[in-house]
Amino acid sequence: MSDPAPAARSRAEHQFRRPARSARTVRAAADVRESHGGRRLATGITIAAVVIVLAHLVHAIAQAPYFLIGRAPWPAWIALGAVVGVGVIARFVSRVLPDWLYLVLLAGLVAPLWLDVSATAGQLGSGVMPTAAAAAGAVLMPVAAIRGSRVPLIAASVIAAVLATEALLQVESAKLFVVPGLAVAASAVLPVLLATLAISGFRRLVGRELDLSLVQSTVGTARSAVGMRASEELAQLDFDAETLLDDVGSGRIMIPLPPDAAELAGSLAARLRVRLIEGRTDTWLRHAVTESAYLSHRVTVDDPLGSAGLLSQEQRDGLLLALWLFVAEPQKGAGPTLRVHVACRERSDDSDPDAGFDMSIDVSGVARRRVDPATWDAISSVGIHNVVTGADGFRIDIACRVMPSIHAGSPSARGAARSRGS
Amino acid sequence: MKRIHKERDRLLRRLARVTGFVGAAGALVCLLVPGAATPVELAVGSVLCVIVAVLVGMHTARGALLPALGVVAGSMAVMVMLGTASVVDAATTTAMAILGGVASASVAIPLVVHHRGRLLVTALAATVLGMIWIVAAWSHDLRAVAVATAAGWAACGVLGAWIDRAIAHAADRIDEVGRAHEAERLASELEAQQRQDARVLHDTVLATLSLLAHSGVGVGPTALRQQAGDDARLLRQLRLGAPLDAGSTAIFSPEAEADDDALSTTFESVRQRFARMGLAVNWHGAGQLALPRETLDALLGALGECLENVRRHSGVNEADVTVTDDDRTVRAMVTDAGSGFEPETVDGARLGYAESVVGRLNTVGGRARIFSSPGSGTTVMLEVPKP
Repeated sequence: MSDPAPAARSRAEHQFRRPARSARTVRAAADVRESHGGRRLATGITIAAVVIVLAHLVHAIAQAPYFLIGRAPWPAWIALGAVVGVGVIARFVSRVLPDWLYLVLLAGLVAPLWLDVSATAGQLGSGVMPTAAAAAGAVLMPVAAIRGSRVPLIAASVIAAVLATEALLQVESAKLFVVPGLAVAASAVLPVLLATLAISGFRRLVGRELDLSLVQSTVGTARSAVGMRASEELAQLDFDAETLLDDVGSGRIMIPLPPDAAELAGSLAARLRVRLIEGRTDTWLRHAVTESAYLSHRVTVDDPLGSAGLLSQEQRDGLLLALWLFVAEPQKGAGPTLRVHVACRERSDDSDPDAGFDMSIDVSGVARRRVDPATWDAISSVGIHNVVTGADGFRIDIACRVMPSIHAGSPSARGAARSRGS
Repeated sequence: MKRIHKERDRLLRRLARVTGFVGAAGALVCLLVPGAATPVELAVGSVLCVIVAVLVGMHTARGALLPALGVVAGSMAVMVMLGTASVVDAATTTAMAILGGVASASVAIPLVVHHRGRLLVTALAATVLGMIWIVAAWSHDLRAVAVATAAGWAACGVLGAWIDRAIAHAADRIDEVGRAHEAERLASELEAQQRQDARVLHDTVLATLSLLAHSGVGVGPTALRQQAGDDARLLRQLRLGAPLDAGSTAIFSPEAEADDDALSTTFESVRQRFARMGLAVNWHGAGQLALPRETLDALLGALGECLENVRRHSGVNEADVTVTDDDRTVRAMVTDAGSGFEPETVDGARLGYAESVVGRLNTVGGRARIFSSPGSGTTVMLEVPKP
C-alpha cells in the first residue's frame, strides 16, 4: 500500500497547538475590558473620587477659622483644580491622553502637595491638617481606571508618605493631633488602593468570562471537530500544492524534478494526508481545553476514541462548566497545583455499545469540600456520577448516556437558539 | 443566579474585606495611642473593634446580611461610647471617623447590589449619621466624623453600584463576542469539512504529489505535466469556491463525460488519471448507479487508492474493475494479475491502507477485503451500502 512513513512521521510532529485567536476576537476582548464596562467602572470610580475630594474640601473649609493669616491652603486647592481641569479638558479633546501630558500632569500634582504642606506645616497642634494634598491622592483614582494602575498607586503612596512624614515631624508640638494627621495621610492612598483592586478584579473577571464564552463555542460543533486552525492550514496546504502543481504543469519546473522540489512535493503530500484524515478522534472537548487560557494549563484529556463527541449539547455544556469551576477556584498559597485529568473509556460490558461510555475525572490538588456546589449540578447533567475521595483529591466516575438519535452540532441543532454563559 | 453575578459578588466582597479590615484595624490603632482613651474605653473599644473585624470576615466570606448589620452596629457602639465620653480628643475623634467612614461603610460595597440594596445602604448610612448627630447634640463637635462617614458611605456605595453596572454591561458584550466567535468557528469547521470532503480531488492531488516526490520517475514527462496542470486547475476551482457539493446524489457511471470545468467525480476521471500514468483500467459491470454523494466519494476514493497500489506495487500495467450491485450493497472488485503478496505480512493498520481505504469506507458504513497470494495477483473487494 502507499508509503506510510512520511505521513506517520508528520503525524508525530504535528503537535496540537493553541490557535492564535483571530485578530477580530482579540480586539473584541480588549474592547470589552477597556471601553465597554471598563468605561462604566471608570465613571463609578470618578464619582467616588469626587465625593472624597469634596469631603476634603469641606474639611478645609471647616478648618478656615484656624488658618494663620497668609498660610491658608487655598493656593494648593487652586493648583489642584488647575491640574484636574487641564486633565479633564485634555481627556475631552483627545480620547487618548498623550504620555507626555500624563507625566506633566502627574508632576503637576507636586504643586498642590508642596503648597499644602508648606501652608499647614507646624500647625498640626492647632488642628490644621493638609487637605488639598490628600485630595490629590483621590484625584489619582480615575487615573488608575483610565491609565495603568501601578503609577497612580505609587504616586499616591508618595503623597501619603510625605503627609505622614509631615505629621510625624510635628509629634512634639501636635501630641494627639498626630493621629488625625496620619489618618489624613492614609486617606490619600486607601481610595487609590481600593480603586486598583476593583480595576484588577474587574479585568480578571472579564478575562475569565470571555475565555469561557469563547471556549463554549466548541460545544456546538459536530461529533468530531478539526478546530479553528485546521481549515486555515488545510487551505494553505492546498494553495502550496496548487502552486507546485501549476509550476510543474506549466513547465516552470522541469521533469525529472530537482531534489528540493521533489522533497517539497513529498512533505506537502504527507502533511495534506494527515490534515485530510485527522480530526476523527479530536473532539470539542480537546479543542475547548486547548483553546482556553485557563483550562489548557491544568486539564488533560485522554479520549482515544473521541467518545466525548457523542455527548449531547446539554451534556457538553455541563462538562465544560464543571471543568471550568474546578480550575476557577483561586488557589490559596503554595499548595499542590491543581490538576484535572479527564479519561473516556468504552464501557467494559459490551452488551449495548451504543448505550454510552464511562468517563472519569481525576481532580488532584483541591479538596472536595472546596469545590463550588454548582459543579455538582453541572456534573449531574452529564450523567449518573459517583465520587471517590482520595488522599490528594478525588475522582468522579460518570456513566455517560448517549442519545443515539440526537447529534449535537448537527445543522438543525446549530440553528437552535440556546442560552449562553449562565 | 448567574455565574457572573457570583463572580461579581466575590469581587465586591473582597473589596469590602480589605476596606473593613483596614477600618477596624485603623480604629484600634487610634485607641491604642498612649493617652488617647481611658483604660475602660480602650478595653471595650478594642474588643468591639476585634468583633467588628470578625464580623467583616464573616460577612465577606459568604455575603450573609446579619454579620453586615453587626458590623454597622458594632461600629456604632464604639462611636457612641467614644462620643459620649467626658473627654473627646483628636485620637478618639479619628477613631470614630474611621469607624464611620471606613469600617462600617465597607458593607455598602457588597450590599448595594442586592435586591433593594440601595434602599438598605441609604437607610444604614442615615442611621449612622443620625446617631452621630444625636451624640454630637449631646456633647461635642463631631462634624469631621459626620463628613468622613457621609463621604465613606457614598464612595463605597457608588463603587459597588458602578462595578455592578460595569460587569452587567461587560457580560452583554461577552455574550455578543461569544456568539460571533461561535459563528466563526462553525464557519471554519464547515470550510474544513468541505475541503476534507473534496476527497476525490485530494486523492488525485496526493497521487500526483507522490509521483513528483519520486521526481516523476516511471511516468512520461508529458503525461505527468498534464496531470499536474489538471490538478492545479482543480485546486484553483476549489479555492475560488466552485460548488463541491452539487447535489445529494450523484450518478456513478462509466459513460459520463469527464467535464473539464467541474470537479468531476465520475469513474471516467479516475480511468483517465491512471491511463496517463501508465495503468490501463478496464471497466466491467453495472451501468449507472445512484448513490449518495458521500458514499460515492468514499467508494471512488478507495478505488483510486487501490488502483494506485496496483500501479506502484503489482508490476503490471493493467487492472480490472468490476462493479456489481444487489438490493442492499454495491461491490467494486479491483483485480490485477500482478505479483501479489501475502496479506498477513502486510500490517493492516498501516496508515495508507487503514486510513485511505478502510477508514474511508467505514465512515459510510462500507468495508474492504483483500484476497492475494504471492505470484497469483490481488483482488480487493470494496463494499458500500445502498441508501
